[in-house]
Amino acid sequence: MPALLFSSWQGELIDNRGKSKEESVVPKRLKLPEEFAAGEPIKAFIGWDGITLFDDNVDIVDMCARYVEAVQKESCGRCVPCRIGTKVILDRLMAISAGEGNKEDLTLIRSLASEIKEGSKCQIGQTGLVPVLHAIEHFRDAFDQCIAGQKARAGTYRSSVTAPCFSVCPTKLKIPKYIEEIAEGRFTGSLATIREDTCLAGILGRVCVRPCESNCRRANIDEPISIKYLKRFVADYELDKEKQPNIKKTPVDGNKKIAVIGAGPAGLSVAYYLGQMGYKVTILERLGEPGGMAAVGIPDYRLPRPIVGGESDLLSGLGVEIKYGVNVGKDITVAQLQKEYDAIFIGVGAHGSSPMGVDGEDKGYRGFIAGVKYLLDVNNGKDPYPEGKKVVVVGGGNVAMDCVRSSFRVGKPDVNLVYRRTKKEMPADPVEIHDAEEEGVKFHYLCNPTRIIEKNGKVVAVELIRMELGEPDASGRRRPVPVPNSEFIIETDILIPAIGQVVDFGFLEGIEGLQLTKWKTVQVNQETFETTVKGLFSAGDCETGPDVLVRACGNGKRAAWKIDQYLRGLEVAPRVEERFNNFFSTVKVYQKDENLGIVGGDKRLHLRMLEPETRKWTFDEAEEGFKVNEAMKEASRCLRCFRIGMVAL
Amino acid sequence: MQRIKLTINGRAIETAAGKTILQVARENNIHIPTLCFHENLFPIGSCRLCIVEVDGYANPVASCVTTAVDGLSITTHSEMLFRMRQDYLKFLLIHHPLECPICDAGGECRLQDLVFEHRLEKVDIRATRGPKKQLFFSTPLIRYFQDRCVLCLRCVHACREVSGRGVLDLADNGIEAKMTVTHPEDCTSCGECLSVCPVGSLTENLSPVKSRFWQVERTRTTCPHCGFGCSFDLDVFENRYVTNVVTDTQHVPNHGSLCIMGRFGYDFVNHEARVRTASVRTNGTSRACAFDESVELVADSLRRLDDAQKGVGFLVSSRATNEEIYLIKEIAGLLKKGFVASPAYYHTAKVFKLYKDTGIAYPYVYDDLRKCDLIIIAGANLLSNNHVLANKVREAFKLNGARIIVVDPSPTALTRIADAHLALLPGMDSALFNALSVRLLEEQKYASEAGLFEGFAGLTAMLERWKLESRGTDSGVSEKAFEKAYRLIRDAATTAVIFGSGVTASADGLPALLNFSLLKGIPVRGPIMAIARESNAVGASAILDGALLAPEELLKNEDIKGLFVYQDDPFHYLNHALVKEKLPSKEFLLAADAMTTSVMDSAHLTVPIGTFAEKSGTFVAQDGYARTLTKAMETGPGGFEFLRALLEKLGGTVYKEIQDVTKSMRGKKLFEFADEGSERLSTDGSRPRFNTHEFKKAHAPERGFKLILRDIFCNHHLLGKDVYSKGLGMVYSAPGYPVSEDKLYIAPGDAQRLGVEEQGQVLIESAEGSIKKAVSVRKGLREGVLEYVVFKERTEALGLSKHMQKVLDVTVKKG
Repeated sequence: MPALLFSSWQGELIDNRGKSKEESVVPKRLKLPEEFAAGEPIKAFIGWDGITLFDDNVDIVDMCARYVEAVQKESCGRCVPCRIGTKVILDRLMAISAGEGNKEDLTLIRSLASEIKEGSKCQIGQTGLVPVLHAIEHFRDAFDQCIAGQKARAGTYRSSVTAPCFSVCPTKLKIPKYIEEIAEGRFTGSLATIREDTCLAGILGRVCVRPCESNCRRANIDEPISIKYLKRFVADYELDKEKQPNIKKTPVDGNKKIAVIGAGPAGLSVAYYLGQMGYKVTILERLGEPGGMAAVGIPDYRLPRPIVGGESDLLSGLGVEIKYGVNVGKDITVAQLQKEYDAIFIGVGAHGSSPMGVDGEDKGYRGFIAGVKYLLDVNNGKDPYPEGKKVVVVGGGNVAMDCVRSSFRVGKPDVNLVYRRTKKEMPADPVEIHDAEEEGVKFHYLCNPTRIIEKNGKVVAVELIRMELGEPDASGRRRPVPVPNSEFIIETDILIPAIGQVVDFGFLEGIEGLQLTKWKTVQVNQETFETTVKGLFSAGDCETGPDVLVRACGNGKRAAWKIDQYLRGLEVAPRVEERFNNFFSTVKVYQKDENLGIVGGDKRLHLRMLEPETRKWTFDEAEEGFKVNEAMKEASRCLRCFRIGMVAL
Repeated sequence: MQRIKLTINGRAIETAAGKTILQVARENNIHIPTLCFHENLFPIGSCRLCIVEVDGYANPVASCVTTAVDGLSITTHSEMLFRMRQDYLKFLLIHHPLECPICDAGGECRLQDLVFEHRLEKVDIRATRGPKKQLFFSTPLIRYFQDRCVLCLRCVHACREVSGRGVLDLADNGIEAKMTVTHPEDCTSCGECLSVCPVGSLTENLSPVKSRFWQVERTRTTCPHCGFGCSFDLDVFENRYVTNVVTDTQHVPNHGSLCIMGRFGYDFVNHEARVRTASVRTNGTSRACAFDESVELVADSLRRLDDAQKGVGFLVSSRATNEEIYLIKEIAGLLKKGFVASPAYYHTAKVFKLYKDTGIAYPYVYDDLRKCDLIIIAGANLLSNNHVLANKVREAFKLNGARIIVVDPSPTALTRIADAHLALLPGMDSALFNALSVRLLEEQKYASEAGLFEGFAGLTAMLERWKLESRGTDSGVSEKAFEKAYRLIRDAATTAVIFGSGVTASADGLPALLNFSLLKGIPVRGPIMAIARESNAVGASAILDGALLAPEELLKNEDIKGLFVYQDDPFHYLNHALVKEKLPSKEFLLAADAMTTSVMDSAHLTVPIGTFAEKSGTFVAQDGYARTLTKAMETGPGGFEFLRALLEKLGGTVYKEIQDVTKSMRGKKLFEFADEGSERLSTDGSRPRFNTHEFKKAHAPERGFKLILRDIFCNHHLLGKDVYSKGLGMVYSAPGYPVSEDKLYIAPGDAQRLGVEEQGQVLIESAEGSIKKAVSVRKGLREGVLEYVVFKERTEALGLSKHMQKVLDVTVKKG
């Protein structure tokens, strides 16, 4: 970070003006990048929590006026103090900037600003005047000079709106907006807002890992909003009431053809955006159905297949064609595609299984089935191993959860899970873990397999060794260490490794120059999603490694933007909004220790679930969505935390 | 329900959990200033005046959107809160034009009240804003002063939440934000936005005479147009002009809501074509005659006919009051051959009779919809009438998450929120409801108590036979739609059924529907709601029970030589050729009405009876409960005075006051008292029983198309011989709705097949007539069905059938 002159960010007041380098204080809570974009150093940052200043060439009065101008522009009009009050203040600030203000203006601004802060309906009004109050307090001279007649110097600024939830959403859904629309009864409008940033509303509404909910300010006064279930509600509403989706095309002047390899979340997202832009998109999918892992990885009791199919059907309205049963690398090569298409997107996902490093795992024993293969069979309606009745799954992620819970549903009554750390460290969704416990999965923590025990080529048991937790590893979780001489045996017919996935590079047959990363994923420029081969782009699990579904959606969207730039011969570069997204990721919009100062006490609404003893034997959807009144009530808890950040460049 | 304890301004309060702080305050008569809050809407939170301080929390909160939780200590008034409220009001006043002297809302304005309460004497802050011009609104009946708007957003919310439309929205940001019309074509002129506007931004644009509330007599009465029975206030200026209709959230059952007819349909009272004096016609010339002379004349004529053993027919409107109908019945009863008929015959009287056969009590409570998880609306277009009932359905939708099934060939207003739309062929209701009953029985998913009703075994056996004979869903509903609807019905715990004249258009429709309803545990587990197009159809059916004839009978029966037409117009709903042919054969024709009707062209005597604004009396609304009319204007002797005098002259009972008639009806046990002092039709406590007569297989359309005549029975005082309600006359709005012109709707597929375009001509032929008309294509209308919304050109539409028929078999060709 460059040398800080002043910061009032997050209550940490640092005034280094006039101090030497040795005397200057370094901030603890403030994290900012040095540059906004290459060649654009940040001279100041002004936002919802205060002001930070790096370059004293920035005119504070001008910056405040421009900031309040941004606030007025963003003010949605739904409450009196922000809508009108910020304009009263803006007019005064503009007058002061122009050298035409007077002393009483500052008194007025201060008193109105705090009334607007305390009475506004949402965070735009509640935070929009905070920096102005700080500026008047700490940069009084600058204001006095302008009041005395000096004109403020105009600067260059860029501003953007963010929100705690929005800032961590990989696909940048306008969460407070779509939730407000639900609270106001505008369900189809809410779905349209969601569809601006993803085409997979129903899928995400059921299986998203929801980083937004862990960044929800409502949690600071009671409980986070059920953002995911509200998304599901509007997606289901369209289906229940049989409404026609209304996705508009906004064509650019492109007449080009794009091939998308893989109809998983990344591929569908890319096709969605390019299709809306009027391009001719063809998706080549190896399996017989769309959705990728969403279809064949996630079982139907979590994500019913018709939901996946319905969302991919949206694309046909945009002229996107999906060809099923096409195995790129075998049936057709990338080289051939390069001749026929103007750009190619690789979204093959990570459908291979990571090896456990256990004796016997490559011997082909019957009953030893990789997690992803197990789920593929289950989701295709097959019992993966009819002879076996007892199951042991190794792993702690969502795939492992899907394997154990599906096992009941294909008629295996004795289901166990083995994990090398404890429940606290399990990466799986806590709701999934809880539901699995309710259904009767037996969890064995702090143990790891060492050897597969077989008889006549069939799995009969697995040898495990007990583990204990040592020092934390790179991810921050404590590293498991085997306890010597603590081996023990669990008898089982079926052993399923579900510890991770790898990318299947079969599609690479016949293409040169595509570089891979050291983790055996497709290497891409993280800003542009370009691979090392011109005209080839990639996003999703095959590029990030196994990751969450919503990230594939978000990166697919961004990749589509880049492909469009490429096809139109423009510079392939991130948009300003992407730069702001990175910027706000660094700044950290959600603060767990923020004291909101308002009363809460409204618990979040959960979905109704079928009884464990009923649901564990069937693939019927285990959860029932919100009813209209429940959705509106839950949505009305949202505090609408839109905030504005502005950089001086 | 959990209980909580909290204190407000030091006062300890105990209440149920789940309420907002504002609700708790209001329930305990603690004043918190508000501007945007409205009882009929979810809290909006735009004005920020309701802010309160909570002990232990740094920031104030808006009490309308904050849940009251246990242990809170709240302060509603403090120096800080007062200053904040003052400043927020100042914000509004910066641009609010101080036009109180010329503003309609002067004296009845929330902003005035709040500014006064907060002692604002000057507005010492400024802000610039673009000019706000007054624009056309979504309906010519409302005038929108955009510069007076305070952006409380009540209108935007009310349009969507209450009326289920999407006409208005908030546009633009910051100080330029404005309420704007985004979808004018969706407006039905219900005036919900107008009724919730707290200032004079939305004002009525109908009345040529403007009045302030202190200049008028404001009288509460009941709407005469449809069976819902809305309550509203009439503002009458100098006992001459009705200048406004005003509503109030306190009053049942509509709590401030109305429809276009209730809110803007009052101006017919002021119309030039009012009949104000009696006139007698002899040898083709008419002359005015005094009240006493007219009574004398009628009495003489009736006595003469009676002495000659000739029949006298009394055709009484189903919008006349109970007292008027009762007096007419008494008058008819004095004659040897007195016959009474009413348009109530066509639908409500049938419902009445069948309810008796099925052991179902008529009265129901609208608010019972709020406890239902499934609401079925069959054969009822809740837009051209009973719009407020549709509002009640929407309430159940938003408060209870109720699922909705619409059974109608037409895409009626509630299909917007319906989970299933069973677009059946008109007249095939029995096929559909029998099929649903069969499924409930087969899967044993009927309410257990239904198995104990009389006729259960007979029903089961009869439906077995019917099933074999009818084979499946020949109601015209797709199997997919049927299955979806059945699943919803099967899983519903508390079901409501609302039905209209679409179901009684075929003889078997209602019996099948009632059987189905009983199987779902209705009327105990959920209500069954019969609707009526006319305000007193139920009252007419109850009073004339057992002696009610079809109106055309009075015309066709050669024995009936005298015809007494009371507040009715046979030209409004009967074949004009028939009426024109039969009227001259009557030796004595009396037309008693408030507005000029075509009957008066050949009537021997025309007598004024006053509009609903000039009557006191009672109706029985479609829910079986009594409604009161109170005279809002005094304009000389009207219907009651005439009938009372005639009855006395003929030697019948002498009634001095109208209340005496009401008492007499009570004495005859027509009414009983229910909870909260309301009166309703007497119930006899009989147990429900199934209709087990053999249901025949419903037959398919004979001529290829079904033509539905809609809105035949709208009040002829609004749109009758002429357009008497100028308000209704100037509105052209949403499809299928009362419009300012006759509209014939066709499905897109049918139009395409016939090679007809929008506004192209078609030739329609029934068994008894034919017409040529331009069509409008209506998306969502079932193929094989045409809808004719009747307005002025009734001769043509009614000419397609010799007797009153709502659904006709027709052929349709490109014309």
